[in-house]
Parts: sequence; structure tokens; C-alpha cells
Amino acid sequence: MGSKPKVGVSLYSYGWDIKLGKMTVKECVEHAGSLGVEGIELIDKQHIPHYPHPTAYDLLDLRDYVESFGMKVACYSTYVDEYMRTGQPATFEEIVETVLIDIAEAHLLGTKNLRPAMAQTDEQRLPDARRVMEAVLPSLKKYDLKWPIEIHAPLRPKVLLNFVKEINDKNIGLTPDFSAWQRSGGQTLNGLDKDVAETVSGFIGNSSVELLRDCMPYSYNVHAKAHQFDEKGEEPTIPYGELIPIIKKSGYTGFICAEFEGWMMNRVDSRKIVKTHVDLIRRYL
Amino acid sequence: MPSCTFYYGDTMPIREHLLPEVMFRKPVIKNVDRNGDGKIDGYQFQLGNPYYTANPISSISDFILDVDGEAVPLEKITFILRGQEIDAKKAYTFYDVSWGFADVMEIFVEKSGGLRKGNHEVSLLLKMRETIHYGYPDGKVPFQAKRTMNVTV
Repeated sequence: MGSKPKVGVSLYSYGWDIKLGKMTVKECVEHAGSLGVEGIELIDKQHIPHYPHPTAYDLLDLRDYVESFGMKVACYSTYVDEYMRTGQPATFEEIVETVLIDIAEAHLLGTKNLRPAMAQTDEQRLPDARRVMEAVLPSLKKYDLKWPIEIHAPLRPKVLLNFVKEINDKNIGLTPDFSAWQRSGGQTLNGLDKDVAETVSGFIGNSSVELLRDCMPYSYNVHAKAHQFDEKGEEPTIPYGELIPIIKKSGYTGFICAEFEGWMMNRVDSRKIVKTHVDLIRRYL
Repeated sequence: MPSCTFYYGDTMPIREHLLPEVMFRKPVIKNVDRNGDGKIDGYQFQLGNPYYTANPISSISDFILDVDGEAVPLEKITFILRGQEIDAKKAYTFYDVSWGFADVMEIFVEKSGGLRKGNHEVSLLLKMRETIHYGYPDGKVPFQAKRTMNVTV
């Protein structure tokens, strides 16, 4: 294992081409492999064959395919759906069962990180997430998995950091998502696509970069978020030049996964955009 | 500790200007004879999932279809997903059938004789219940799209 962070690609970044049937999940894996990255991140509700009931073969076959390019599954990111049934939310027991199934799937995918999305947008839901975490901790330990809860705007890094410190268990950690450090305002967005600028304003966290340094000792994965790139290949609303060196200096050796989300705002060439994104991360690493 | 809930805005997750392409991927309507008796029973077109992930069929809370300015009653609509036929009025019960992220479903509309050849204006307001909490009004994410669709057969 090297001493630097590893670069990965979240297949979320290929959303536009997958959505329109222009790329298969395996073609995305192959493209990420061609960039020489060390891992890919998978999203259950976008990339897993036969979701929500994949077979063991589906998972092992996908893992083998990823590993055939010398990569690993950096993280298995899942959603804990509470409102599948109309008028009848999932019970606590059903939610726990959902995460236990995610744990088994993560194990078959050969990853060390499982991110079940709970309380993704509401800090008031964190106590509920904690109850679920505590219920599944023995299984996380049994399968040697970490649950790095995501610090995604509008959730605040300090709140999440205190949350995992209170739990105080090595299997529970953080996934800093750069949206928490994203900036908005006319100055940084001048001259850029107005639609993108307006949309990004709903995501920004605008946290101090110092908070990322505080979070790194508890982090097991990082989402290098991006919505757009300028002509120099920079993300004008996210200070990559400050954030990536902080991660590097922290001694973190886990994955920094490129997560491009601009495909929801404009048509993109996924292959080109993912390469631009990976180059941006590498430039500061 | 102050609460920090929010929602992504009326046009998220996928922006409205992209929805005609995502939802009506092929601007084509086919008249179909479903029971093989030689008579056209209705028409059918493809609908792509506009949500930013897979979501269960039960999450389709509103399906307001309008063809050439005329509202289509829900009773006349059948969703066909991987060959499974789901009465649109019962869709809210299908929590274990997933409309995949890239899945296209067929929408069948019962109409004796089908639609005349040529162009038709199809408009759809589709609302999907969020299955994890984002804080959208009423817990529903709206997707609206219009497209000129062509009947060739």
C-alpha cells in the first residue's frame, strides 16, 4: 500500500450515459480502468444488476470484472429506503434488515466500505441513523466493513465529526463530500452556465477548509464532488487546490473518488468529463 | 442544535430541460392490437425513468397524461415493465417492482382504433414519492415533459 491517497471514480459520474442507455455499467468500469485509477465506487440503485434483488452471481461477476482491471470496489454506496410502501413507512426492524443485506452485498463485492444513505439531508435524523448503526455493528465487524457516513451539504462537517466521535467505534467513520466545501456567489460563478450556477446554490456547504483537516483522521472514503469544469479543468466552485493537499498531508491512504454530478444539469460526454475530473484530482495530489 | 433540512429545489434532481430526452427517449407511438383479434386496441410509447436512481413502481404517486390537449384517464393506462403489466391505478401497491435507473417502460393507453397517423403532442406530469427523506413538498418529486411524438403504424 502506498503512502498517498488512492484515486477512484464513482460510477455515479457516468450518470447521463448510463441513464440514456449509451453506456453499460461494465463499459464504465472499463473506462475507469483505462484511466489507471485504483478503484470504483458503486451505487446500488444505479449500478447493481437486478437491483433490489441481485443474485450472488451478479455481485461476484461485477467484482471479478472490476478486479480484472487491477481495481477494487472503493465503496458500496446504498440508500436506506424508508418509504417504499405507499402510506406505510418501513419499521426499524425492516431498516436494519435492509442494511444487513447491504452488508452481505458489500462483502460479496469485496469492498471495505459501505455507505448506507440515512439522514443524508437532515441532521435531526442522525439519532435514527445511530440506532441502525449500533444494531448492525456486529455484522460490520464480522465482515470487516466500515460505515463512513457522508458529510454532504447541507449537513455540517462539525456536526458529523462530533457524531462519529461520540459513537467512538473504528467501524463508523466519515466520507467527506466536497459539496460541504463548495462555494457559490457571483464571483466564482461569473461567466459560467447560469443553470448550473443556480442549481449549485442548492448544494453548497461553504465550510472552512480547516474542518476537512479535522475530519480526515475519521475518514474512510472521500467524494471529490464536481458539477462543472472551466477551460483549465478546474471546478470553479470547489477549492480542489486547497482540499486535495489537506487530504494528502493528513496521511490518509484511502480513496478519493471523483463524483461528477453535473450530468443532471447538462448533456455531457461522460468519458471526457471523468478524465478531466481524474486529471484535476491528480494535479493536486 | 438547529435543524438543517432542505430539498434540492423544484427542478432537481434532473433538470427540466433534459426531461423530454430522458422520459420520451424515442418520439414514437405505436398503435397496437394487444389481444390479436386484428383490431387496434390502443397505443403504446416508451417512458424512461426520470428519477436519479431506480425507484419502486409504488413511488409513482401522480401520472397526469395529456395527448393532443386531452386528458387521459388513469383507468385507461397500463404500465408494462419487463413484460409485467401493471394497471396504473394499482401501481401504488407495487413496492417490490423496481423501475431501474436506465429502465424504459412501455405505457399502453386503451383507445379503440388507436391514434391517427402523424404527429401528436404528448405531455406528462409524473410525480414520484421520495423513498428517502429529502424534504420535497408532500414528499413528491415532480417531473414534467412534453414532446411531439409520431404515429407511423
